[in-house]
Amino acid sequence: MTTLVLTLRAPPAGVQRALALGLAVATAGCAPIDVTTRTERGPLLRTYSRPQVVAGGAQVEVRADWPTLKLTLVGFDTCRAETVEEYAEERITERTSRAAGPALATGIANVLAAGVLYGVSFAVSSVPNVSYINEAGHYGPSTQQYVQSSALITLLIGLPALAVGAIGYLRSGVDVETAKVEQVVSQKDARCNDRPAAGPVTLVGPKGAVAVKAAVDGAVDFQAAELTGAPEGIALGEVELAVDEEGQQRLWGFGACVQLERDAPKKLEMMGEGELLARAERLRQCRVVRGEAMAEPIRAVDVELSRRRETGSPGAFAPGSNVASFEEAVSAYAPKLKFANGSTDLGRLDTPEALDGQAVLLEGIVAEGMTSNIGVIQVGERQLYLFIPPRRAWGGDFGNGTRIEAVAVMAGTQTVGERTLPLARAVWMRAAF
Amino acid sequence: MPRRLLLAVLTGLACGLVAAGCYGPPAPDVAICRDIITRLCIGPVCTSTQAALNVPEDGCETELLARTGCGSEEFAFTTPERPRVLQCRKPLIRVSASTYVKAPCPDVDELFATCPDMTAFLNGVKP
Repeated sequence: MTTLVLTLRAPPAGVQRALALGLAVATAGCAPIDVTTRTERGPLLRTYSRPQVVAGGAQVEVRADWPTLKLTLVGFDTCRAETVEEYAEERITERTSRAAGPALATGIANVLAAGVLYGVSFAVSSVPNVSYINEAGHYGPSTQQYVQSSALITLLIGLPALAVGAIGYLRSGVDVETAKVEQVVSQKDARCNDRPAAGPVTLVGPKGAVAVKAAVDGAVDFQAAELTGAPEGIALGEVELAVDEEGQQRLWGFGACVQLERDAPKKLEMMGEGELLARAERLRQCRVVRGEAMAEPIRAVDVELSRRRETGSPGAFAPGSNVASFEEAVSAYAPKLKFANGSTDLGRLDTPEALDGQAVLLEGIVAEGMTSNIGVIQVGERQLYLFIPPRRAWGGDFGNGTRIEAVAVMAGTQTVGERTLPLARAVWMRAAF
Repeated sequence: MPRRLLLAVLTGLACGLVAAGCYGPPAPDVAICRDIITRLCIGPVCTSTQAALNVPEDGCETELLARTGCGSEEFAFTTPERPRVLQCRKPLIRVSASTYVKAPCPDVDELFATCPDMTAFLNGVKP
């Protein structure tokens, strides 16, 4: 009787582990999961108002009671009322595996086929193939062995496919997370919690701090004698404070008064033209603080300027910000030259140095606003620079193409970039013709 | 694509396992002995066979069965032993391991050249 032996040699343990690892990696790679997340907004649950207090700032009030500059500092918060709508929101995460279905079907079919083949193998011949003797002296396998081997191969195909399908199926699903979400639909800010501000207060001049003092209970006074220069701004700690226009005028006026006090006493007749003009401007600024006390000094300077103008002193005409209107500028500076399209005086621009200090009436078109303080004015075929002092009393926006008229004082030439043109310093400027 | 690759790898693995490890029971010594004699005696008998074993063209198989004792169902290898016989048989099955296949004469020559003990066995020399 012939004995049938089916021998499958098991690979070494290391190889088995490597095969298992490779199978796991390959299986995971065969079961990709598509994850889709979407958010669905649910119904409105409620609407409510949420008060909040956020950082505000500080405001300074400037008063001048010569020789004292009185600052009142008020710190405040911003009280914010937010209208909030609360919604229910569902965050839906869908995990699907496109490979799960086909892999599962393949796996089940192959495993079932393997089972059927294995069952059928017992119905076929188990007699070995005696017409074949291999090198080791063994007969060839029987038909039963062939069928069982086929069952094994089918099982080896089916099991991984089954694993891929099962993993994909198990990892598929839908997760729904419900949460409440808020949406701010409106907010209103209002100043609140006014309180005296404290801290070091710095008066800032063009070249830095001119005086520093600590504010107590939101107030601090500076004596004129304590200032080392003319203040232009105020800072609390490191933060520069916004000053309203009226307060800014008082601050500039106080600074002008301080500067006048520091100027060495000198007879007007002895002053140079620039010095006299500067004094005239400071006096007018200081008048904001000291009022009528400045009336006499201003009158004296004006008399001296008039005298010099009548005698033809060119320095009598100078830029300033203390005339109150275009007409006053015309009256005060009495321009004898007119630069307008077609005017005969335009030819004088060929020698701008000869015009130095002379007042002119200018009519032209803003050709180019190069900076906030200087622009190019087109007058007929000629161009000139018009300097606009930072502290000007007139307002308005003069964009390119604006037709303007101005009272100005010629001041030589100015080079900006590669262009050199005659320079006029505006006394008053307005849109016109 | 990875799934196809996996299937190809698994299929190859299974086929390798089948090819390497799937075989039937050991053939008895008498079957191996008769297989060797058959391969040597299927005509035309090689010159080297005739020279080494001194057997006629006709009746080669009968003569060798008688000399070796492989005609008996109870035959078992003694000298040379079964492993040695299987080693010496390798040139004869180089073309095919199926029975009743004539071994090419160069392979037969190799047998006689490398296995004098086998030659002696086939000549009926008793140890």
